[in-house]
Amino acid sequence: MLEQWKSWLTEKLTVPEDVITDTPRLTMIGQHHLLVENHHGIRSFFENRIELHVLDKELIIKGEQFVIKKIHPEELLIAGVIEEITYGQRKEGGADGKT
Amino acid sequence: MGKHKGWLSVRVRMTGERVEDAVNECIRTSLVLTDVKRVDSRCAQFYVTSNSLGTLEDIAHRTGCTLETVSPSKTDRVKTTATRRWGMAAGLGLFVLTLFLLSKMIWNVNIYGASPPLQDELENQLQEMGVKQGGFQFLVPDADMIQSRLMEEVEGATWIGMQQNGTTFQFEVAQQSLPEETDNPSPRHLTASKTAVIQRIFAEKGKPVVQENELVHEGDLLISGYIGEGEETEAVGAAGEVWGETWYEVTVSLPRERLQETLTGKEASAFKLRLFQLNLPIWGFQADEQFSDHVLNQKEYQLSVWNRSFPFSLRIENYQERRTTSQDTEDIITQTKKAATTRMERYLPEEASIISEKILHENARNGKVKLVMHYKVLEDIKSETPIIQGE
Repeated sequence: MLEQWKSWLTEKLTVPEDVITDTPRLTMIGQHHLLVENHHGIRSFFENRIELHVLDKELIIKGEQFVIKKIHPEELLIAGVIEEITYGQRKEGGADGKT
Repeated sequence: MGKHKGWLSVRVRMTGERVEDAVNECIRTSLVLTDVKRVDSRCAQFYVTSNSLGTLEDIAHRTGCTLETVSPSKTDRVKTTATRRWGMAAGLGLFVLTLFLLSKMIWNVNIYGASPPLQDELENQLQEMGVKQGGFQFLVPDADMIQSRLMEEVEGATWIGMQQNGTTFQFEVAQQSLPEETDNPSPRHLTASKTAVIQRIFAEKGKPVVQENELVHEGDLLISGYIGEGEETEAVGAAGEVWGETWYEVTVSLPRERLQETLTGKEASAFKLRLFQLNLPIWGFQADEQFSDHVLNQKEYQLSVWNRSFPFSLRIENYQERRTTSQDTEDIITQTKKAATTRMERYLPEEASIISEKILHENARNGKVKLVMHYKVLEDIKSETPIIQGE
């Protein structure tokens, strides 16, 4: 009910979706930086693969030499060589980091 | 990545099976992590501010991770270095403090445009307020206060401006120029101040009652303050000039034979170190025996710090050779006369002039010449006597 109302509101007010709903916003600068806003935490984190929780999905970033420059509650900056960004289905329990 | 983020960031290594959980926990508690880097599958390295280390430790404990500090923050490192080299650190701190204090001192107080007495008064006032050499700027009231207080306290200044140039205080004074006291005298007579023969009389105001070549005694009326006759008599402040011839007798005596001391120009110096009551000669041992007759000049130099003097001082004794010659003056009379005239001129006011001089009496006895001189002097003899009205 709340979600429906929110999406209706964004449509009517013509504001970006990520402002009202929790939709992630990805800003990529070249191949080296990726800013993820509205993330819901880290699922796993390795030098060549980072998985993040976003909304009801999972964001998988593949590449090399990943360093998370900073982590704020709603913002995350990744530096490294980014090769691939994909969405995947959310698996429950982000504890095991060996996916 | 060797570079530090800031003064407080600590490099931390976290090891455990659930590193991601720990990081998520950090996100939830608004803990900012920077430069998160995976070392291996069980271990991550990141920077965190040193004051949030406690919270991080808590989280690590809850998620079953171990925490390890790789490199402490810059502040901590400086602290460690400071405690290890506390002497150096204290010196550095002291230096900075001294520099700061010295820069906050008043090194100079300049006053422009004030006459010496006004400047002196101004300096006294400033001293009271703490504006003096060696005072501290922060102990002194601010510029407006100083200015207004000076204007209040110091008389004779129309305006006092203050300017601070670094450690120098400059005061600019616009001095009051009072108009000359106007001569508006109350009713008075002019009378003679001494016995004299009137040479010249000129009444600016009032009625002259004496004539030229008339002898007057002290207190005699010269120019009357009453003008008009009978019913219309009016009292005014008499003014004018009255020059009279007066007489003086001067007695002078001079010795016939006079001793004259001259310095030959030869000199010798002795240096002595004075320690408590002890005199230790350093240089010039025979200086005092070198001349048969000498003039001694002594100078003592003593080091002192803040009103406390050291118990030793350097004394320099300077001996100058002296020769005494006796002079038998030939024209002793002329000399004596000259001495008498000089004495007379010093005694008389500036406008007065000597008309003539005469030797009244002259005798030489006991090696001395005694001379009695008589002078005729032209001088202003008027003095003011107020008229008391209502009699």
